[in-house]
Amino acid sequence: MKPTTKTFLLPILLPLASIIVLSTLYTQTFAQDISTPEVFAVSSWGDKLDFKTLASETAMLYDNQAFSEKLIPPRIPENMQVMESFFTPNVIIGDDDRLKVTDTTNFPWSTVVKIHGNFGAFSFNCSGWMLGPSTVATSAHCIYDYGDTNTYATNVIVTPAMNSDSPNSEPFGHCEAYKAWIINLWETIGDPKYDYGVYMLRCRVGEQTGNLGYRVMTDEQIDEALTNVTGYPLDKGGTTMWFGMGNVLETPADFLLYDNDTTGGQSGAPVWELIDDACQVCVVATHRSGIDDHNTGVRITNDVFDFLFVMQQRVYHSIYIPVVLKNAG
Amino acid sequence: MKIKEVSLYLITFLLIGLAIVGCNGQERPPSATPSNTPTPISLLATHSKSPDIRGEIIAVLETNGQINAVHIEGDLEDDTKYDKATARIVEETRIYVLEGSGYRVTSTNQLSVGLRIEALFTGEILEKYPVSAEVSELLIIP
Repeated sequence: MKPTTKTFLLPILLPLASIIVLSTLYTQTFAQDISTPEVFAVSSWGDKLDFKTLASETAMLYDNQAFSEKLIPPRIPENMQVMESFFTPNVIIGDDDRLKVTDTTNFPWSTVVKIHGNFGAFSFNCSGWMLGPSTVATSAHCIYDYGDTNTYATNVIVTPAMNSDSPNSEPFGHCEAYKAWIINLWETIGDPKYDYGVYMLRCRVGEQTGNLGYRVMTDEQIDEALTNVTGYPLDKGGTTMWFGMGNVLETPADFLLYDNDTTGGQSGAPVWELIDDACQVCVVATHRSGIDDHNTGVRITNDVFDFLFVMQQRVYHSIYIPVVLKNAG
Repeated sequence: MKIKEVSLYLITFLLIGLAIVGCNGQERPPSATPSNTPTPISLLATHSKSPDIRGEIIAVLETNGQINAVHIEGDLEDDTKYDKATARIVEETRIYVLEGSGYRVTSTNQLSVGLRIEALFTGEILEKYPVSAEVSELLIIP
């Protein structure tokens, strides 16, 4: 058979085409690597989410002012009693600074939850706070056990306003968590500044309990502020709600250091300022750890705010809109 | 002529190779520590510090074949702060075993379920329940 032009060109064109295809694929992959942010949200199902970009995009749809002011107010259900008296600083602080919440069905106590779950074969307890109708904010170490079992929690049950001293110890019932979101850098290196996350619940209990607001505060705003930390300390049995008041001691970039008394079981508890003129009850940090002379919470920074904002919107995008639509009506 | 050229190329490559290897900035590790290093003092065995928890190892956690933490359960006592904890073992953790009136240094390999131990935490304590913290010292007790 006589060689044609095709047979001559084929050995040249084929590798050339392969090189073009491979380099295109490589470029695309490389471009994806570059566009993947260093910090993103990861779920217990393995999903990834660029929450910072999504937060800005979502803010365009909703009340942009609330987003730009970095303050999302609480949602208090109609007809729910609000405990105004605890917002005044004239409360007697006992020896260990903690007081038991006797009626947990009033706002804001209704929004504070007990979290019970398993890391591997071992059970654990944490606290948390209602962020939306079926979203609970807590510490990342109450979701992913970095450094110990290195696993996501399983069989997680969330109980808002738990009070074993009351005839109805679960006034709003309890609810199973089906999914959780944390930040990738908690999962991979356990970076403490990313010790925050959310659980998604299989119910809309937050519609009954209401949810806390959250805000970013500057150092000047928060410095020496009187704060409240509320949760379910295990040294008190773990089935009753206790709150402790104290002062902010230091304000490093990503944390708040305060002298409120806390103990095991209170990780994930909300920290809010007692007198907040701009917001009735807005969380400014999520309690994380204790050390000899102070306790520490992960501060609501711009990144944390964006994460919470996205999680609040994302879950109830078509069912629940926590902020007013821009130009609505 | 050709042989000369090839030889020149080979020598050049060899020299470049040697230069690259020679420029590798890695330093050799220091020689082994002297065998007469004194045994570090156990703060728990000498009662210089009170343990954060005293109890039984109920589980040993491993990552890549290395023990990285132990679950401890005990009673809350006058000189302890916790009844349950996850004690994280890090590079700086020292492990001792009480022997008669003295103590000796031991390794993580000796940790097993059922042993009674005291743990001294260091740094911040994550306040889930059981609490979780890095350990500066573990003392195996009778």
